[in-house]
Amino acid sequence: MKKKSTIILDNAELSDYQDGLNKLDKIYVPKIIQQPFSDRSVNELMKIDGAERKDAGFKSSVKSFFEYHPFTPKKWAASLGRKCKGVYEWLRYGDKSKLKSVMLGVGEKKGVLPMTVSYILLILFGFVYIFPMLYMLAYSLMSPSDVINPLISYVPTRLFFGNYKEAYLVLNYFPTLFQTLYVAVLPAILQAASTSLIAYGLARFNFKGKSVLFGLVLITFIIPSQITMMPQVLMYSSLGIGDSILAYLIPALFGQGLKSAVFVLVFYQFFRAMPKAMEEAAKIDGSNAFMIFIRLGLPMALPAYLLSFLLSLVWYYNETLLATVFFGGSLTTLPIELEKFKAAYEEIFGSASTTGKNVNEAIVMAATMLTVLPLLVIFFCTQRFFVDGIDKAGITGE
Amino acid sequence: MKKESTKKFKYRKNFSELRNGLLFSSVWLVGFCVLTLYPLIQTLIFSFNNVQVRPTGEIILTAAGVSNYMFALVTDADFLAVIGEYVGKMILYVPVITVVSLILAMLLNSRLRLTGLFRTIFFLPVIIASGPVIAMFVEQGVAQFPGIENLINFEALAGSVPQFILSPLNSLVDEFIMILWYCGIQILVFITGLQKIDSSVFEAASIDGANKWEMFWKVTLPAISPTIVVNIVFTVIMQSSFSLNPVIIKIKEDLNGSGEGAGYGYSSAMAWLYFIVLCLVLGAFVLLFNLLFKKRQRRKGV
Repeated sequence: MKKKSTIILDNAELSDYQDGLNKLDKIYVPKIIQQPFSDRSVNELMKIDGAERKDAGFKSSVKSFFEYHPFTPKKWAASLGRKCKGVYEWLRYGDKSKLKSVMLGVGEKKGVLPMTVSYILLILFGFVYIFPMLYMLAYSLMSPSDVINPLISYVPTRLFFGNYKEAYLVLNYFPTLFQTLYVAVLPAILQAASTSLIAYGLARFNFKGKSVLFGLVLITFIIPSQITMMPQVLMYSSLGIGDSILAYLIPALFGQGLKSAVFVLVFYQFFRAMPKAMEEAAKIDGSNAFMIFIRLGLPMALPAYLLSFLLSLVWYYNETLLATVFFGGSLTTLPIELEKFKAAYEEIFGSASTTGKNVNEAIVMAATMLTVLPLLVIFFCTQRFFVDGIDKAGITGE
Repeated sequence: MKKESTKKFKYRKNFSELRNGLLFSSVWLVGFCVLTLYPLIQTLIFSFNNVQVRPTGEIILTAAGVSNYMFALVTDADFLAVIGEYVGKMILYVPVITVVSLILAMLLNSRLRLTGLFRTIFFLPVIIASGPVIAMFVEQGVAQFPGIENLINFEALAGSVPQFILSPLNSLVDEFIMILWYCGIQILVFITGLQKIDSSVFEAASIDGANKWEMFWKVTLPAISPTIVVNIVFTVIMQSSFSLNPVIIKIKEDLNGSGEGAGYGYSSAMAWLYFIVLCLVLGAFVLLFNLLFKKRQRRKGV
């Protein structure tokens, strides 16, 4: 420090001494942690190495599709011509070799036939996957007369939003949605924090009993939460925190939340990939283990944090059994309301015999759609992190 | 002198590693003891007692020996039925899910366009597949592949094919889409496993004259066999703790109530029996897999 300041004195005016020193502090003193080994830098390194980042997600894939397939009719015609030439040569001269190479592919290049088969399979499976959702969407837009009409099975005659209106009323939508998010977001944050701590402990330190600890983590994965649920309910009610969100928060805080072992494994993979040299450099600079975790581990595992947060958010959102048992009716979630939708509907609109109004499938479908909608929104905003995160976490059983 | 100091250094290093490791895992360890281990033991105690919970929160235990277990295994016809249903479902689901997700993962891992879009589609069910939503779909008959009833007529087969083959087949057709829906995470795990295989192995194999089919059996499958085990375990666990699982519904239903065949004591006994069955199923699958693949590899010297 002193040496450097003398250099400054030589070059700078005396009056600027203090100023320069301040600047020096800000600019030149290297804090090794200032640029963490972040996700982005890995990608940049990969780019320099010429590695092609696998496109994930809808937006980038569409973009890359048009990048790879620009609108070049001439080229397309040429390639089509080459393919046709194979057929032509076969028919004209009986020379099958070219046709074979085009159809089955040569070396790295894929042939037309396997490509077509792959695409057909993918499209088939993709359709099967989204068929229930499309069906749900179409059905929820049917008016009562469409529902009764036997000629109409998939496409409604006109868009009818009455089902959504009724489902919205029965679900008591926005208050229920806020409660659902309340009981999903808070535990998700705590769970990501606590599981990352134990994963760091397991991944970065070598100590006796580590394998035992790891075994215990895996055992918690196997134990169904239903088996420990009953004494937990009794414990919470004797502590006076039953029927409140604390019954979710406390297990999450201590790393015993919903499927927390999965998150421990995800974080474990991330922290293991952290370079040892970086940690040692930080140690020499006088950081203790906890500081290293905060400054090095945390920024590096940011994708893992996002993934864990999102996954546990989704799992907490969808959990109905534990929610009904732990909250005992004091808090409700959208899936719980959906479960008892028919009874709730009759309570509001009267039963079929008195008013002539009956809950039909279209209304139930609209309610299902409304339940799923927030998750879909979350997913489409963040799906890059989901898919990328699992990719990088690399739980492959080593 | 020098040796002694290195020894001391080593000891100090070991100690600091132990201290730091335990410090980081201490929060989890406390949680494990209080929120998992203690309730686990308590459930075990409950299962050997008749439990009454007073409105004040007081718990009264009366020793019942193994009567709860006997009731579940001998008297209660429902319990054995749901356990049977559960085991049958696992035998059907696990292979189908594993195979389908492996096929999809291999398709997504090949050099095709738009794989990102398809990955998004295949992962979507993980997000929205909660118990009530899936129950709703099954109720509406959306879980079936449209028009498949016309292809396979089960009533016509009923006479010639034995029931124990027919009924899983029937439920496979009935819930085919839902079974596919459970594949989301497994597909991603397989993709990661596939990407980790060194491409030079494939090159070497192709130089040796192996075709694609042989490469799959001799290179890909052995390389991802740990991934397959992970996926099998994951599938069993996810299915076992799913809200629509018949055993879990039964345990929950019998939770509130008193007397024989209901209440905390009986539910605890069932939960423990269920846990044991779950472990057996898990062990059986992993063992079976090892027998089928590991042994074959050893014999062929791969």
